[in-house]
Amino acid sequence: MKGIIFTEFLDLVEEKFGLAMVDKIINQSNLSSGGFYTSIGTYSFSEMLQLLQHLSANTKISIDDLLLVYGEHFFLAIGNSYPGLLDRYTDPITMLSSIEDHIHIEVRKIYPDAELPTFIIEEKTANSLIMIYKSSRAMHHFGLGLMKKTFAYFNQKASIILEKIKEDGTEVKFIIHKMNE
Amino acid sequence: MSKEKIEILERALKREKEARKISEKILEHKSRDLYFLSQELKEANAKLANLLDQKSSQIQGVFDNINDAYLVIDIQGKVLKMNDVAIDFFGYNIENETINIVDLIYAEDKQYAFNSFKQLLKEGFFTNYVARIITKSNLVKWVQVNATIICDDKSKPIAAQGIIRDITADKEAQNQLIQSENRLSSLILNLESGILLEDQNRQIVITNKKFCDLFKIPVSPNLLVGEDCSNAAEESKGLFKDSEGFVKRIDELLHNKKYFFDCRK
Repeated sequence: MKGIIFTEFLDLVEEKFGLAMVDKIINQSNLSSGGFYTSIGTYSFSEMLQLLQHLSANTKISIDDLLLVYGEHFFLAIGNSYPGLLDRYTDPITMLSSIEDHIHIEVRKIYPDAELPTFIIEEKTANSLIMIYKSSRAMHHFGLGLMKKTFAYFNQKASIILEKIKEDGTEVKFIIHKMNE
Repeated sequence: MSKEKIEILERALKREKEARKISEKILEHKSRDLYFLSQELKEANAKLANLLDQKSSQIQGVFDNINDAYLVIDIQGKVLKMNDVAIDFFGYNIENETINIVDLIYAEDKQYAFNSFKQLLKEGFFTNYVARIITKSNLVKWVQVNATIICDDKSKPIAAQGIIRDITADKEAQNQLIQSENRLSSLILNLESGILLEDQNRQIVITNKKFCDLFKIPVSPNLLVGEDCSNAAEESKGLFKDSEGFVKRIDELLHNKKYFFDCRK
């Protein structure tokens, strides 16, 4: 997993729960990296899983909810670091349906070895989108946070329903409907 | 500041330092990778440039060495490129002057040339265009041209190239042959001997007045051209002393496909 996912995560933990919590979850986890993360490095997903589990245990917040907030935070981080990535879009549905064809391509320019989830468009209209998310990491709520912030970025509202196709969350259907103001 | 807080900060500082060092190592590694990659690209570019030079040189060699004139013109007809044969043939050299193909076309052939150029633009090529051109020294020459359109990467025509063969000598030989045939015809028509020439389908190619007089054919010899004469021998055998011998002789000649020029009374 790319280091930017770790560095942004720990920045968010520090921002929300303080440096002591960052120190705590790192010490509680058995990290082969030693917790020395750099955004351009690559680390084992199991390290992220441990950090999430310990944060969840320490804060009594579910992993899904933590990932949702982290997804929202990550969207802002991307927007600040790579504004050009978002500038070309004027509509959230178009942007979300371009994840595979554009956004992931741009991500791979910066992180060539990034292991990205797959998004399959099942149905698309001007105001709705049905996408299937597939990833062995089952970070669907991270995706949900990104989607929510996408609509907020364009000052629009949407209902996003998440249906698990596989119980372990490795395959999930997102049903998105743009809501009129 | 509590001891615990100091320890937390110390550990955070240590993580930051380590992360910085890892980043630096990764960047150094990437920098080295980029250097090698850029070296590989430079070598690949040099190889490609060399191959391109070789190909260009081969193509240049082909057009320099062909025995026919070779021209490249733009869509407006301006000559962009010509080989040495073309320089000798037309008498012009684009290194010294601007030439437009329109100026080279013989006046009477201009309409035919424009129609052919339209066909070239439409279909992308033309073959066996035969017309006259005028050289710089005002010589009229017959040429046969095969041409193709050159398109850009968006398939838009940008130029045309053609190989121009000088067929002036062939045309002269053809004219001389026609003149010879005319002279022969004139000679046959005015001979004091009766002549009838038929083709392989037994149709009359030429005959003369004397022949018509001898066989009492009451029409002009010109009117007999194209007529079927397969029964002529049988029909006119009565006019010969040895009627059967005449028919037999004609059949024999036709069967053996031998030439026989003597036809006297």
